[in-house]
Amino acid sequence: MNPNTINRRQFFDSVQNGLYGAALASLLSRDLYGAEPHHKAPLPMDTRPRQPHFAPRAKAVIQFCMQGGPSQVDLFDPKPALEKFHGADAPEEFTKVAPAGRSMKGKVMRSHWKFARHGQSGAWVSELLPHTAKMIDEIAIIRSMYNVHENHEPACYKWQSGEIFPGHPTLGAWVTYGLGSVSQNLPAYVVLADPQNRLPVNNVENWMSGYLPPLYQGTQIKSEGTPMLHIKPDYQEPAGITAAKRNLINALDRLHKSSRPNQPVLDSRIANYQMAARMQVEASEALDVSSETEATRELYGIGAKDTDNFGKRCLMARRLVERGVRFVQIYPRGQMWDNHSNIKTSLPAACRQSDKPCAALLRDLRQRGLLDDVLVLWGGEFGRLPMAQGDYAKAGRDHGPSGFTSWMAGGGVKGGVVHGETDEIGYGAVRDRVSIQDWHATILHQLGMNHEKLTVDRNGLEERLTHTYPTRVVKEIL
Amino acid sequence: MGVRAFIYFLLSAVVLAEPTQHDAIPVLLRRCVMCHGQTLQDGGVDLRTKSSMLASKAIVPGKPEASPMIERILSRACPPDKNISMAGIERMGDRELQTLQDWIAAGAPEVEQVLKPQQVDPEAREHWAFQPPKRGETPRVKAANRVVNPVDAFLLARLEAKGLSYSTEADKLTLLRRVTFDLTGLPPTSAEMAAFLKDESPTALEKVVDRLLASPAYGVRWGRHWLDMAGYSDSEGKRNADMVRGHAWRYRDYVINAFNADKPYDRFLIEQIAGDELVDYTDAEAVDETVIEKLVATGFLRMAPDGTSANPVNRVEDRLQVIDDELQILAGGVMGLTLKCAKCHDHKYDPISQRDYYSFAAIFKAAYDEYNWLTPQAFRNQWAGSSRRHLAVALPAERKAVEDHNAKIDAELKPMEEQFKTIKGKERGELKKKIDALKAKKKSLPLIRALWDRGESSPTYVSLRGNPGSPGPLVNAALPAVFSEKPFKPAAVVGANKTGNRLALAQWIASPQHPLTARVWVNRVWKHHFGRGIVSSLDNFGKIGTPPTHPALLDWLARELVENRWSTKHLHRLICTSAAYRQSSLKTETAARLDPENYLLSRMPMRRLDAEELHDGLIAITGRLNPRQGGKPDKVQVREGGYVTGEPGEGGWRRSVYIQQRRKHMMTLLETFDLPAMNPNCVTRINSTVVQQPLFLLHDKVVHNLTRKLATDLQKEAQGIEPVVKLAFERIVNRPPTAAELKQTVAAMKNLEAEYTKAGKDGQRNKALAEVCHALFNSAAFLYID
Repeated sequence: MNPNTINRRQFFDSVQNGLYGAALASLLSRDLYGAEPHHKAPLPMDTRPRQPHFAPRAKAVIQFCMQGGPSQVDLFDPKPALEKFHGADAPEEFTKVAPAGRSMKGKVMRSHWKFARHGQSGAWVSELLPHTAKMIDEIAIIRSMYNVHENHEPACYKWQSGEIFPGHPTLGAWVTYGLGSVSQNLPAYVVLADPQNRLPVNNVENWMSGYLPPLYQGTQIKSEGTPMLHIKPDYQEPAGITAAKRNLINALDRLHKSSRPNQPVLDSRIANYQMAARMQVEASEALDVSSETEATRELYGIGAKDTDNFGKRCLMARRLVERGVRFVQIYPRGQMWDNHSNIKTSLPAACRQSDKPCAALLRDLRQRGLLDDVLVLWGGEFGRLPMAQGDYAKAGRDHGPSGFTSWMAGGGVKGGVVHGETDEIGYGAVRDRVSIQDWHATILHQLGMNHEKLTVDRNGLEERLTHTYPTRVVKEIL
Repeated sequence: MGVRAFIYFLLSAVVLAEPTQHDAIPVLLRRCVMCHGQTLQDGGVDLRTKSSMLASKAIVPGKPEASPMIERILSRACPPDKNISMAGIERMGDRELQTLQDWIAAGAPEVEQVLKPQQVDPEAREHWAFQPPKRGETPRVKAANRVVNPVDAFLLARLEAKGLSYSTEADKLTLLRRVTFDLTGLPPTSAEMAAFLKDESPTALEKVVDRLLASPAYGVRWGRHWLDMAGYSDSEGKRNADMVRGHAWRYRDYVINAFNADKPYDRFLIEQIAGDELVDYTDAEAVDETVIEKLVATGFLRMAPDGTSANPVNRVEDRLQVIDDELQILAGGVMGLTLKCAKCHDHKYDPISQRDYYSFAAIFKAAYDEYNWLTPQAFRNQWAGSSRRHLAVALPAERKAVEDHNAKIDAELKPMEEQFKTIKGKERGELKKKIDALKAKKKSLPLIRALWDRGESSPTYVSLRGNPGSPGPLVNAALPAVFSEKPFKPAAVVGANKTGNRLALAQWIASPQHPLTARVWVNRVWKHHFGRGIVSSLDNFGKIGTPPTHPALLDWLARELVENRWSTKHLHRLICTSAAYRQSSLKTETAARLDPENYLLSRMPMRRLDAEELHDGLIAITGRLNPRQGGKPDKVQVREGGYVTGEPGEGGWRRSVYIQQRRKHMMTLLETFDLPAMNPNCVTRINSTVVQQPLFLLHDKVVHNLTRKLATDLQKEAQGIEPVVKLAFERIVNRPPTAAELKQTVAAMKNLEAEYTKAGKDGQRNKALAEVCHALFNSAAFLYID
């Protein structure tokens, strides 16, 4: 059998016949993208690789989900004018142009940190991010992002799914729906959340599949202890028994499904049992960072107090994309970027935890020749206001959806580019503004997909990630 | 919404001109009244009102420099450093101090603030959900033979308009499995299956529904749905420690009992919102079961995550978050209102202003007062002025038993403690041990985690932008203006020293003409039977909620509920005996094309067992279910790798609602199958199909062991491969196998036996059968309900 022409029927049959090994082998020898073009109906009920609309630049995505709202004027978007206005009411000429509905008031607060130019590109980066600064020539900084809501929950929904309400598929779900996954032994869409379970706002809805089949929702993997519970049986039985039992489940499920047509969830279920079997082989190995060299582990800050938690997940992310996982999300603990108060101490703490591991991932991917194929995304649902929240001594900054910074690297993105501008005080995006849809469309574009063509039929409506908003791919950074 | 802007403009014209008590008092509330207010009056000083300030000589109007209050703040005597963190306050900011000085300098003027009545946009008021439901005419349909009750007429009318009708009727065993799980959360037993098959009378299903509704398991199942909405949890949440909530289970039992008793829904709501105002619990001798029940019911409004049992996170902001969660649970869960949206600004879509939000919060102020807070638990370094939110109200006999028991111990202790004063050396240590052991035997009164009115409260100011540091106008308790513009009138209460505000709210919510209450409840009941509400956004009946698929049916059901003494069981009877509910879940090509998402109910939805059905079904089928209901929850154990299991209590495993429901450590089996984390509550559960599910069911030792036990039992009842396989199907998937299933399974069982023989194991038959059972528990036939 030519592995590249195995169709779904044959694939399932081979599994049904207990030929896990054979199916596994054929899939492993597969090219990065299968021969089957992406088509709308019927919905693919597996995560086998599919052809994108056009030649892709990136083949996998790692998203640093910096939810909470990292403060752009303290990290990537230096604003000397903050010195000038420090202590004064934020000039209305800036705050009145709020795209987020209502203008925010408050006293302007200068940044506590120094900025310097870095790399050949000479892009400005704050002293809080020394490691990221060293990688700046790989990075395209977008300083003109904006979101449409100033509260975490709706803004996160918007950021992940393009709408401010739950129920829509998230970016990772769309990507795996569109492309499937190279690996059939690992989930296509992996979520590496905080091991102590301090989950982000909106919880698991950050990686839900909405009206796409549940097959495309993110699978949460823990980076400490057993990475996935029950990855192996916690009882002993002869291998022949396991195989015979699985065959029986498969046979019964097929009989069950054959008398219940048009129930896609039954297909997803069967596919899940198959993946469970294959995952046993590969997942433990993929998630075991102890097999990495000491130098690599040090690069990510594994073993060091501040960075161990986040660093491990960054290294796992590299190992996962190396093994063909399509989309990986990494979440920091809780709301570390949500610096409403005491930004003087809380923002450096967040940077200390994440700066080194983030930069390490870029460096490591580059060294292994993977960065060209992997699109790395960094940013939150919004940024923060240039004004103080609370008394200056212990001030923080409130949510700033009107203008904030995010960055992309790898996957065909130009390094050392700074795109867009915020106003003089960094309140709102004013030039080359990039909406969440623009950002989504740009990511899809790098993956070889046209955001207008990646659709799913829902009650006669063609749903897409960018919904019906006017959308533009940010070609300037590609 | 220019209206509010206008109101603020009017107010600010007054407020900004010269400071008044409305500028000064919010500052004092935030910084001072914890020592000089309702609970504590340190130095005899009370700073809550101008007159109390004058009476306690805290201020000299016109002379800030001569006012002891200002002097103490300037000299930093107040607030005392040691109290700052404990009292959850911060030192007064310069601007706040200036406000106080200016106010006093101006002679401490008091103005009466006159709030203009709110003007509700007439168009927004027209929204369907704000109009009382009316029972419309039952439509006529072609397929009259399939109309069991009016529910069918409403559904068929829409189906027929699309050229569709119901699917065929489901076979009896499918129907029995469906209705048994739906109403009790458990599978039918073999005897129940046989009895239903034998009953050929036209009312066979009706009899089954009545039997199930009368079963105590019904309350467990439907109570659980309510507990999701209420956000029931046995832990406080919010903080890493996730402290255990020791007495929450009494509320859980209240809910389950209420469902079993078919407590009228209006009563059910009134008790949960204002049970404390329905009874007098101050006379310890007069306490009876009713008093206890009403107090326990108020636990409903004590379910939100609450981290305030520690000084650093017991600030006014933290308390306001708890209050906000509770209000949203009530408004969203019971009335389908997204009230929360109006906390920081006027609601963007519905006619609910920010003033409405704070007026609504003011109704609760005598119970939830962020400036006079009751903490969930006692903790170290706790503020002297705070107390806990538990009532030690018990039946006189119960109380006496505890007192007598303790008196006996005290009597025993007394000589020992005397001796302890003088004794020395090694014996002293031994005696200490004895004393401690005896003390540990003392009992305490059972506590009730309740919400109660304390007769008075701090004033409520609108928090501009949701920030309590930016006070807006003073508001009084009031219903949202879209519902009523009349002044809010407290209700007559039982017992002294209560405002009657919550009771008035409860009576309004539970009034027969309320536009939302009955609709929201019938919609929720509908959702739990048909997988989707008539309004699919269960907690949002507002403008951007999902419009109802069958508005006339929703209204008909709402009126039906109200006119049948708010009986939820009446709704179940209507729904479960309807032809709609009797349909097969077969999704034909036509149905898939014309009604792809089943909005019209052209078939019953197929659904996966939820977390509890899976857990409870597993232990019921394998004969391990301990039917004991109520009481303290059984503990969970956190094992390596975060694997959480339940610890069987006395008499074995109980249903999952009786396993400790912690926000942080949820039993892995339940969490894997989408038991939600209550944060603060769960309106609609998700239903995921993820790879962790097969991994769990295939690899978990506990599940595997259960199948061994089941295999042993089955073999006592049937001999021979074929009969025992048939029995396994009957027990696990509640129907006989099809011919093809039987053939496959028998072949697999022979194969498994051969494998065990090959591996040199004893008891091959039993082990092979166990594996077959394990396969069946993993099969779609078990996990899905047709």
